[in-house]
Amino acid sequence: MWVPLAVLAVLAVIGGFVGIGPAFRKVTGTEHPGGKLNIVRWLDPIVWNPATHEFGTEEAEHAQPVASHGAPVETHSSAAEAGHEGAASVYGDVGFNLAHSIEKSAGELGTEWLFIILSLLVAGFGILMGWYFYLKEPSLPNIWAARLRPLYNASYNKYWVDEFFGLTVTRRTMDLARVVFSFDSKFVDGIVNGFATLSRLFSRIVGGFDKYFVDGLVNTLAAFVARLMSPLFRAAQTGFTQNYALVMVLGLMLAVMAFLSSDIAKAASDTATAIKRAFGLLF
Amino acid sequence: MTDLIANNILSIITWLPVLGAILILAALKKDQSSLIKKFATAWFGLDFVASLWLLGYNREAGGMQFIEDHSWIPTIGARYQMGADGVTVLLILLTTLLGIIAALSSWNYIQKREKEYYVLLLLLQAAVVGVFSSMDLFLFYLFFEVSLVPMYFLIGIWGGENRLYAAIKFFLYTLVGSVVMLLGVLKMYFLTQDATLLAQITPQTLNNIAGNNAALAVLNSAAAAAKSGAGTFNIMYMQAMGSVLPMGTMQVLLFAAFALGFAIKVPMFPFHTWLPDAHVEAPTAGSVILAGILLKLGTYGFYRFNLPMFPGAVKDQQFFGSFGVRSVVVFLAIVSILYGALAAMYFVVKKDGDVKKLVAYSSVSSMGMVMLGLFALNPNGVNGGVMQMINHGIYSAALFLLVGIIYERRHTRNVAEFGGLSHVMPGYAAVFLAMVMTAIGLPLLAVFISEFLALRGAFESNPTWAALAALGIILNAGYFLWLYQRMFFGTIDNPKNEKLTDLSGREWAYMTPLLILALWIGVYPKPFLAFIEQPVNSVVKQIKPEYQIQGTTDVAAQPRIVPAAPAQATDK
Repeated sequence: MWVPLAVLAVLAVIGGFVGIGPAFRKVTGTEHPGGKLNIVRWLDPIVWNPATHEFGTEEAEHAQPVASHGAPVETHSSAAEAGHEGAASVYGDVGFNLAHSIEKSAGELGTEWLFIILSLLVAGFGILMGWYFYLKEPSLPNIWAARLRPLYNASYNKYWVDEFFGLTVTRRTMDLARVVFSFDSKFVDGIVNGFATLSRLFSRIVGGFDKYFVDGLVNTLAAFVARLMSPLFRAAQTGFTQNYALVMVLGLMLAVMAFLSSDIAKAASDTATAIKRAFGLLF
Repeated sequence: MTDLIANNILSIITWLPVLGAILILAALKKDQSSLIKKFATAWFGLDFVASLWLLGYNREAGGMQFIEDHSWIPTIGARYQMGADGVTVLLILLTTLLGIIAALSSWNYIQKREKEYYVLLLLLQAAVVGVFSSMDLFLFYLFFEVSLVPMYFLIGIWGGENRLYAAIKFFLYTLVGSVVMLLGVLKMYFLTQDATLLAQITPQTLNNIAGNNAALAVLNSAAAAAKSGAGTFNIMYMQAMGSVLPMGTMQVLLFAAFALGFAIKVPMFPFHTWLPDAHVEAPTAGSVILAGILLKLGTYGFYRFNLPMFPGAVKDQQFFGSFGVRSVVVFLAIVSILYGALAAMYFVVKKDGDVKKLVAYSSVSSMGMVMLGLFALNPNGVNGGVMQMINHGIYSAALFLLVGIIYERRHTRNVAEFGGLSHVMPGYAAVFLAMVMTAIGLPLLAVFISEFLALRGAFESNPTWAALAALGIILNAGYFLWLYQRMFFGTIDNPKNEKLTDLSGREWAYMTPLLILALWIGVYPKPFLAFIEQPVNSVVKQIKPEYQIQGTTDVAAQPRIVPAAPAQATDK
């Protein structure tokens, strides 16, 4: 059972070196040893620095002479030299920042050492207490637990933080998820499907209008014409060949007349002129 | 031969799948099922190999490369122009890779009409690659519309129970958006005939957009066409025109016309409801392509058209009084992030949620992050947005594949049916865990890089945006970990799960590339960012000409262009 813990312990030690900082400058020789492998630097190659308009941090900027970039950078090199204030001003001062305010009074190195010593003290105290209570004097935990019953209970239940979060955050988020989904499926999707229903309804109305009104009008007109004309057409169907022949000849004559109408009209007008002239000569 | 390939590489990648589809239709019989599968998969492999050519993209120069320019419809000025910038290169590579994976994952899943299925998959790939590589707006629009058709059939024929509803909804919804976009396309075309706009375009703008000499030559000839009054559909010219387009109602309307088409495709709240339906009903490979590639058409559209073409509207924050166009888009992006995450969470809150629907809603959230990154309008944000497109393509495709794998074995996607799967399927559980961790954005995995950059970019623009969007990441972690716990940990309660088999060789084969990519981009993303760096810089510069951009740390990497005096732009 101790193997996973041992692995984690080894990894924790390695993890510490990943972030080793300027506090150990004297030992390591540089601010952030390990180059890109240092956690402070590992995203440098891909993060755009708005203060310097370069990929990387200000320190990276200093490593390369600014002058080589030509004129446009000149205006920005001053911002880069201003260091942290310059970088922070790009985002604006966003509220209270504990680390920054400590940094202001204790300086960069002092802050780092302060936090290193603080965390070592806390961890050391915990280890010491654990060793004393559970290895040195194993009877002590029970005595203290009995003596400080309420405090022990609170600590044993992790100060009910889980219950508190469960009640105020987790459950409420789950409720919110339910609300969002029902809003999504009923309201948002309802609008989409509503548009579909509306188009279908509209197409039904237009279809009905077309079928019953427009087409109905056409059919009524056709029926009316049929009704009006049918006695005439019926009377024409006599069944006698002579009648059909007569109609055919009449039709033929009409066709010929229509076809030659202009010639006929011209002939008629010519004839009329000729007659007029004849009368003119006579009288 | 090499020249022939080099000069037509984008056309080759685009039309190769069509050739494959024709070959399958002509040469293979319906009952040669095994041969059809193997041939189609091999053909996708061939297309992938062809697309590897694009890795030769000159990353220092940037701009459009691999340019092809042929006369097409002279009467309206539409030309067959293809070109790819770094963003396109990554997206095309993702497309061709997911093509192989989609084909490979369908071998057992698709049992009916196999021939038509693989033909449609190939045609879909052709359409999508065409969208990405078009440099002519008319050609782009054509591919954009055509890409709907194969997907419609993939959902409609091989989908689940409610497939027709989902297919029609998908088709109509996206069609509505793109028809509105067509109005914008036409207006942009008529604007290109306006010589007064052309006269205002500065050579700096042209150089910034072109990036290299070959692209500048095409841009200049497009400008000549615009000057002659014939108009042009050239995308680079329209981008250049965007820099002088007066900000006002017309520009906002144009932005809205394009944005609606793309926002539906992304999808952004409140235009997202087609997505869960389409995903749940689509076959696994359909979901993979839909989430991995088709959603990117929307964000790619924003990157390629809305951002550079309408810089005035894009950065506007007071057009509607107290807020502007950018405020609306950012608001919708943040709502998408939170809303998508909460809606996804519902499917674990609910005892018997559908895993596929959960992944679908998480896509809404993830694509919201892309939009936020893009509209941060600074290099970090846009880099992050573009990387998030690629990363979402990797992890959402992987998650849909994993859901498909369990669905093939159990014919259900109901969370309540599972539990303790890690005991019977350790390999599957490990891959699933890796992908869940990627989706959450764990450091050293791909999504961390892109979400970090997108949020950092948003923070530079407005810390409140980043703070709100970061809540979405917490929600993501919440439901994904919970889902994982319910599916894989604990004891096996359901006797049906006792005999499940672990991943087969074929399944390992298509999951491994995605795993490698997720880890690679997470640990060493620089090679990928190098592709998009110059194109992204040029977009940011187009929107904010005053924004100082040095390129990389090396000033020589700046696009240096022989000042080939674009005379037509400056005379008058």
